[in-house]
Amino acid sequence: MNISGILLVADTAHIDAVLEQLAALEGIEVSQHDRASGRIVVVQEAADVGAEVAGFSRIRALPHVLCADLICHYFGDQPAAEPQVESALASLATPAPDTPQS
Amino acid sequence: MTSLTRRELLKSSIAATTAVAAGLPLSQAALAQSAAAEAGWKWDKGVCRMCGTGCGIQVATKDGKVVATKGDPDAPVNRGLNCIKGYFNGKMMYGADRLTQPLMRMRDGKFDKKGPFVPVSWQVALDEMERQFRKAYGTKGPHGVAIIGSGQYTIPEGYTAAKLMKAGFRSNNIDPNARHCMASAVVGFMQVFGIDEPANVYDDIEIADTFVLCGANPAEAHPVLWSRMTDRKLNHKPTKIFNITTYANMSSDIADVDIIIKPNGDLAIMNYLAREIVARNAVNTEFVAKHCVFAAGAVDIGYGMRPTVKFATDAEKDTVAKEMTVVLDKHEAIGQRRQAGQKIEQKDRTAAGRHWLISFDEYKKGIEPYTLDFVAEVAKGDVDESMDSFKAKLRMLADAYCDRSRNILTCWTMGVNQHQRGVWVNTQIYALHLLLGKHGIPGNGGFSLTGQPSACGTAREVGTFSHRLPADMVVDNPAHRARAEKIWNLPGKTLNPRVGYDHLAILRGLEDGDIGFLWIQVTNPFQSSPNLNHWNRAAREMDNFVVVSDVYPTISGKVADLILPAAYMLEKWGMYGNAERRTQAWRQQVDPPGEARTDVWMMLEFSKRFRLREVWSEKTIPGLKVEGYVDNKLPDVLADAGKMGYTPESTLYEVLFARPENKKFAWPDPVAKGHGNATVKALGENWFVEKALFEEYRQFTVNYQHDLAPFDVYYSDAVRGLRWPVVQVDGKWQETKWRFSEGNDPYVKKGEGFNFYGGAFKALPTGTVDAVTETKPTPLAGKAKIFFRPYAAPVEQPDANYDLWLTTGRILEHWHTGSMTRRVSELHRAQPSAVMYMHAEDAKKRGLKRNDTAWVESRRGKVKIVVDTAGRNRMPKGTVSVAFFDESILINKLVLDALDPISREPDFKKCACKVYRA
Repeated sequence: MNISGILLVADTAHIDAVLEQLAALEGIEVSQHDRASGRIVVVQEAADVGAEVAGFSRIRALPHVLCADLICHYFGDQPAAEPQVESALASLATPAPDTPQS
Repeated sequence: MTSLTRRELLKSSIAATTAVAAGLPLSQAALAQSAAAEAGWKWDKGVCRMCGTGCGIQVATKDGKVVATKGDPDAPVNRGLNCIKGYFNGKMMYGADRLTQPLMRMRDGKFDKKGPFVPVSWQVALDEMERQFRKAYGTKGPHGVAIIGSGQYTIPEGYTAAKLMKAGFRSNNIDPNARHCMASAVVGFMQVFGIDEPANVYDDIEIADTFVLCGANPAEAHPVLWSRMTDRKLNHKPTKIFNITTYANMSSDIADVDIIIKPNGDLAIMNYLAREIVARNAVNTEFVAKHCVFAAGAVDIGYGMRPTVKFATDAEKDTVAKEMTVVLDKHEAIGQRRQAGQKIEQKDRTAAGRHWLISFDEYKKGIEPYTLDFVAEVAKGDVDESMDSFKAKLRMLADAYCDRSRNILTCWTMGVNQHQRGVWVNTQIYALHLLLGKHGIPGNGGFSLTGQPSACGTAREVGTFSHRLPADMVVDNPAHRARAEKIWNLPGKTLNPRVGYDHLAILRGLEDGDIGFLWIQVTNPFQSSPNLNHWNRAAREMDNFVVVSDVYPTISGKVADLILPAAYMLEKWGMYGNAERRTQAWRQQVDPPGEARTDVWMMLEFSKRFRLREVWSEKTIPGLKVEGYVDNKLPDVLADAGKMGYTPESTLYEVLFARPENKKFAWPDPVAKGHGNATVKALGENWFVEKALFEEYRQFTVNYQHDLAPFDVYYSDAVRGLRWPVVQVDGKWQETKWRFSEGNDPYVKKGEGFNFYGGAFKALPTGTVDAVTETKPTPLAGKAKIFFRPYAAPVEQPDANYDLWLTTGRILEHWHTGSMTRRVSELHRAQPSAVMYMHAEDAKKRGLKRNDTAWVESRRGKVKIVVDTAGRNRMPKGTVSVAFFDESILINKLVLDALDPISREPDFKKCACKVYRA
């Protein structure tokens, strides 16, 4: 379960349009908004962190969104990968970049 | 509780936290739901490690794991905000290929430089490291060993490394990756104010009316500061943002005026602005007369390349040859009042920082050629923009500086610092603000922003540069060495007076064979340095031993002989200092995994292996020629050490670190509130290493213009960092906002108004704008310098063969070399690999379109890369840009290793390349 809180700042003249676009996005809930400042509090839930980052990028790219910040993030239920020395060795296995590519 | 209820509770809690950061009202019910959702979590304050802004974060742990992070609403820097990089602070440590055991190149059970990596014990790793260090130190002396450190070092880490090298091994060959990002800013501060670090603070963002961004893209590199600037613009209608840049970027989206310049055009623009300030009578004459002097410096200073083509490939030779002699082009000739085509020997390349006092009339003579017509011709960077449009923008910029009614803040980062004349541009920006009397006061000033979390707090303040000691002191000043020797309880003449190798000189030293042992800590130089092929080949093929301490395998790990697994920041105690002089602290939150250890522990363990008789006996230092020393020799100080109670058999651990006064700081300590300490645990001792080392370091700062508060003060629940100088007033620790001004800075006395009290370079010869005429030094205590610096062309420019400019930089989703951000695979997916941003017509001319793969090639190498003609960066014709985070692209292979000759900082922003279809 990945849940994050995102604060958007929208162009106040177009806040309704931004709210409308947000409503059409999956996994997004608008928790609060303030017309005077253009601030919109969004809660996003995503299956994994990848979907969450993609969702954030999508929100940030919406027309009339001036600014988007991630405020908080819960990821406690995500199983953490156990570090494996084999995995580190695999990352090191490709040759060092000591000669120019040709 | 059902899982649905749990999820709803978490969502309510997250909505509530976000609303608090937004300053929106919150119901009691929402607060109660938050408390229920977070039951069993332990929150503690932390600091983001992903850039130099210094955002406060809150970290929640449960059952020995980090489960959540959030922007700290009580942190004045970010007020609860958090950007995408900071968002992953807690995720970074859980990658599958996290290093948990030392790995060494082995064959047949022993070290072999050509062997594959094999897991080994710490004992085996440290034994080999000791053997290899002794080999290099024994044959080459203190100048044959080196550390490349970091602006991501915690304060105790940087202090340990600097003390071990300088006081223990008597080598000044320690230099941080901050040399790659902040060195030009440092020299700018030192030359103008005599003391390092900004006078301004982030509070200025909410007071400024005009922001001038120069060589900075805060929308990607400093998102939280950008949010604050955006907020100011939205809530304060007169706000104007100018963006001086070589291509339109994400910061352009909100900027009012985008000024697209040619590389090095900034030098000319600053002189145009100064000329306008003078011509329009906007000079604050009273301020300038009381608090400033005018200065000029050496001009023919080279480009920081090698003085020989011996190591250059055939393709590199024509550029490298310009290090010694250049032929002036038309614009340089006008800007320097010389003749075009004149051959100029770079006679000051080894004394590049030389400068002297001049009169106001001489200053005016220097800036006189920089008319609007001339500067627009030199600086206009977009061929599709009309000259009239560009000139109109420059006039608007001059209007903004000259408007007495507006508060103006100039902010810059790597476009100014990573520049063959980076120190010059830094000093030019201060010149504008000083002429106006608008520096270091609320809403006004030249504000150098920082790229790394402790480039200021550690690399600079602690002194992990090859020329520095703590608190702005330098190794080539006898009084500074004496003060350090006193605080460190060392015999006189222990410290080496010869400045060590800077970052790139260390890498060149590998190629020369001068450096036989290199320890890389908290950084990735074999990805982040320019002209990589040379250094990576030297590390792998020459007779040397390279150790890398890191959290993950990196390109530098691949190049190394030994990799030591390091603790991540939340797995150790630490402190960082940000770009506004704010020192912030955090406790260890969780234990490091497996056999990973703190960097401090690694250095302390290493120090146990060396005895005074080996390091404090007479040493050969090639090139050492200093009064009071036999040429090329550091004296034997063992006899004096004996008088101080040391014996030749004392270890460096005992003498430098586990000193009786340090061991008085007992562990456990109430300030820990039950948190662990991986350094102490691995040492198996009972003294609080990080606290003891900080308190020892603090002695350098107190009553020395850099005052820090006691260790425990930074850990107080109410404190979110303090900006130095921090002094005690009525029993309370009081930070300093604006430096150098009366009423704000404790070092400025009543009635002084301003006092630029830094002590460096405060007695100078006098001359004309071109040369010294009176060598007798004139004192200038308390004054800041207004420098004239001429236009100089980049040493390598596009030509018929390499017909495009190449510039490099960072992007929002990844940080620097991506060794951590790329470990969060999802981040990798968000921006899977670096692309080359290019104008669509430039692509079309080469038979390319968006998403095609192309070769990009310079004199130094070539890489394959995907073309992007419609992305976040909108390139003018003639320039391409590539981010350097991607280790599969390694764009730094192509980048020229030209430096600012004064700061020795590389210029990653301009070299010539060609692009063709792959």
